[in-house]
Amino acid sequence: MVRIENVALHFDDGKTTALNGISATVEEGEFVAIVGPSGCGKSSLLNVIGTLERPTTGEVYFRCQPYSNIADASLFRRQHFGFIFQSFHLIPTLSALDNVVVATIGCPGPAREHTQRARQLLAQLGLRDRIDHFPRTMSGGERQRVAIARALINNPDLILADEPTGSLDSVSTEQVLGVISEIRQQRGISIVVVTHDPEVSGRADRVVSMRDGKIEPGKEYRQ
Amino acid sequence: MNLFGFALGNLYRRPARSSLTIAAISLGVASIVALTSIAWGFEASWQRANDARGTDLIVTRLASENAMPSPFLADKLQATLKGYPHVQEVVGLLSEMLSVGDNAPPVFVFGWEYRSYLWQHLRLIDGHLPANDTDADIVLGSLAAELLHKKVGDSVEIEGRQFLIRGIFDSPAVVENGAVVMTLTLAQQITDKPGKVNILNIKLDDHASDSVIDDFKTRVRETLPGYLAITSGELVRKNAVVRISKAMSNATTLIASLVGALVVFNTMLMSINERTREIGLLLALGWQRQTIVKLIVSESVVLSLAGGLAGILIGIAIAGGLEHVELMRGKIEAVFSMPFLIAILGLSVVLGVAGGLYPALKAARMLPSQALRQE
Amino acid sequence: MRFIASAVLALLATLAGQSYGADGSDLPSPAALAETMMLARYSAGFEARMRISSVGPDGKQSTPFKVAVVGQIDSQRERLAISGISPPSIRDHSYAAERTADGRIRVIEYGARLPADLLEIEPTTRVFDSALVVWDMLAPWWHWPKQISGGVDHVDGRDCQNIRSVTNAGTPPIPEVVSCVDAKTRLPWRTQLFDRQHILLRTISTRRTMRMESGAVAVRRLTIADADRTVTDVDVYSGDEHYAISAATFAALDYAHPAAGQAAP
Ligand SMILES: Nc1ncnc2c1ncn2[C@@H]1O[C@H](COP(=O)(O)OP(=O)(O)OP(=O)(O)O)[C@@H](O)[C@H]1O
Ligand SMILES: [Mg+2]
Repeated sequence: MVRIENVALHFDDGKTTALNGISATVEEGEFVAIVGPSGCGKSSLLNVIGTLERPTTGEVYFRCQPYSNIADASLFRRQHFGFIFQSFHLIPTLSALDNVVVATIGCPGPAREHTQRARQLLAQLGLRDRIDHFPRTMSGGERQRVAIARALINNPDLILADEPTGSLDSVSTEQVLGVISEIRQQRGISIVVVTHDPEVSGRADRVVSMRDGKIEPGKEYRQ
Repeated sequence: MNLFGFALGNLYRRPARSSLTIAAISLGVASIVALTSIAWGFEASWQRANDARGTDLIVTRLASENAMPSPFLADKLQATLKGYPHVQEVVGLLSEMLSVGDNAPPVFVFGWEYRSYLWQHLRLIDGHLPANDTDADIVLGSLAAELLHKKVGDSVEIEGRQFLIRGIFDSPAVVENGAVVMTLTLAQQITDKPGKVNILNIKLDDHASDSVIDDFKTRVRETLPGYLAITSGELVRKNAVVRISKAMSNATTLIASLVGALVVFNTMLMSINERTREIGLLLALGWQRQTIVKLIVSESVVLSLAGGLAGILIGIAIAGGLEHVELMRGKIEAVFSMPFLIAILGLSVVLGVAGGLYPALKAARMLPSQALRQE
Repeated sequence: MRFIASAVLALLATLAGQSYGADGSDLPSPAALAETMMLARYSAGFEARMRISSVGPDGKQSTPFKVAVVGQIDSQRERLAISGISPPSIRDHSYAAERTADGRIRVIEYGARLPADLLEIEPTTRVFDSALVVWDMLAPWWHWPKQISGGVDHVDGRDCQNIRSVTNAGTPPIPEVVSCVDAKTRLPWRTQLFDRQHILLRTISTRRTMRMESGAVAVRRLTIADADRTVTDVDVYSGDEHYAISAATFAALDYAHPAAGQAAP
């Protein structure tokens, strides 16, 4: 599904190296976990896959389409990717429902349908009676589930999650992981998750280990 | 929730900043509305005065830019003009700004030829018109009467001479309502300008077409050097007060628009800087850059439009208030027209777009990964 | 004073041909400028109506009054008639003044019934006890032979050229006048009158100007600051640059002719 070929990513005119010649693949329907020490380039890799960051050299392909040929990265993201972040990134002034609907603004189709779909998703994630609540009145687990609903609203092919349980206690982590497995089963979506949490990496099909902007050879394992 | 709802919500979440911005814009728009409507009011009122008098053309001295035409001897010219085709009446008028009584501000004093058509459009509220050409009798416009605290039967002093107030009238023209009207003969006597007028008013018969008016103007230009024939509308547009007030309103419009756009610009720039992470998120969620532009511009247009609406109301109130200030009484009259108010709203939209466009483009150009990293 | 002179004259100045104006960067000589100023006043007849109010050194305001000034000035003669308009106490009170062939200024004061109540008075008499002086209004110093350049100056932010006019002929009431003249508008922005001991008697300053139909610039408003710190404001509120002089206008001068006597013949 995603093929990464020799990707390097430099910042500050080459003074900082975030990725240093990475090649990897993600298969359709696969759940990959990326682990590694802080600053090793995990988030950078996720951003490159999600077109949020353009590699300095190398190429990434999504279903055989090279990223350098994508005309409209925004549209591409909307069609194929859903993002989940450690700090949720919910908009504090919007209700749970609107935080999900906001991802559909500018999408074709009637707004009422988008809203309807958002309701269903939130209900499915166990937030039926939190629909009109604002982020500040919700628990961390609830907030992350709203963020997951937002990532799913446009029917993505690949979920890119950057430490999704990093701010959650163990009970909430369990809830969120349950939700993620359920979605995988239902929709067959691929997932790439960056995590420090063995609970999370333990559920992945494959774990990739990184160090200093590179994938550590031999430390990659399948479960 | 749609884009517009989201934009409104964003404004609503910063009530103090949004209302301050709206207040600043509304003050600017209010000054535009008040000054412009008053400038137009001047023009409309002079125009109405001329229309009501039934004057088709005016013959006056040719003066250079910014100069005051001086009074001229009417006799021979009047006879000549009477011989032009379709001319029904040629009536002399002498006007001066004079103080009436002791410490009063100067008012317009008009001298109109006795028994001429000029008198016909006055609607008497009280008393009579002067009964002959030479008795020291005057009539007062209703506003002048109020300003000077005078009524029929009172007497006033103008240029050292006592006059009896014979009547008080209402005129369709604010200018005349604030004026003193006497016979031309008296006006010439008190200002020591025997036989002189400022203006000859020409009334044409009912068959006179536009081409007759054009011919008349051409003939004056070619055969009467130093004189100018213009329609009353042209005279109004040339009027110094009208022109100054229009220039003032234009300058105000320009400055207030610039300031308004800057205020919007500043507010929106602050707002997007605060929301950098949020904009990064929206971009990560797949918002097109043009959708971000639409969002920010919608916010700025909502601000400026709200400011515009409030400004229109405040401006109307200011103009209304000014009309009733003692000193301004009868000299101004605000004119509001629907197209004008719509144009002001249009201007507000332009301000919003102009002030919001750069911040919007700046927001749309953000790199989502960087924006998301922002604390 | 200057005010009439200026105001009226400025009005009149309109009539003087443009050729007298200084037209370039190089400064005209003081004599030429003096002549320009003199010619600028030429008029076949003008009228200026002014409202005069003054504030004394104690801050007290005197009752304002209005006068009409009529003038006729050319190479042959210079004549002024000043008559009261209001309040009633000065109505029918007038002054007539002329410059005689020998350069003397004659001033006649008269009432309604000519020639009965006619009186020749000092040229430096104050008009209706105000700061207006008939002598000033005729600006006789432009005829004096000695005109000395005083260099470029600024008055109220406007550029002008200083000219010192001095005379010894006879016993002139005022032997020295310093004017700061704008060659372009041919108006004095400031005129200072000195007595025999070089003590400043009064300063006349142009405050506002107006453009006449002819395009010439005239004084619209001026102030006169007296040595005793009385400040008089002269506002020209109306006028006529083509006033028709009649036989009656200067009749008082003819009645009182030419003997320097007290009353009418
Ligand atoms: N926009 C940027 N500008 C400059 N340097 C950057 C930028 N983004 C990342 N880096 C640097 O690149 C390196 C990799 O960063 P990255 O965020 O990918 O690490 P990470 O593995 O996600 O770390 P963590 O576990 O702490 O989140 C770091 O040294 C970081 O400082
Ligand atoms: Mg990271």
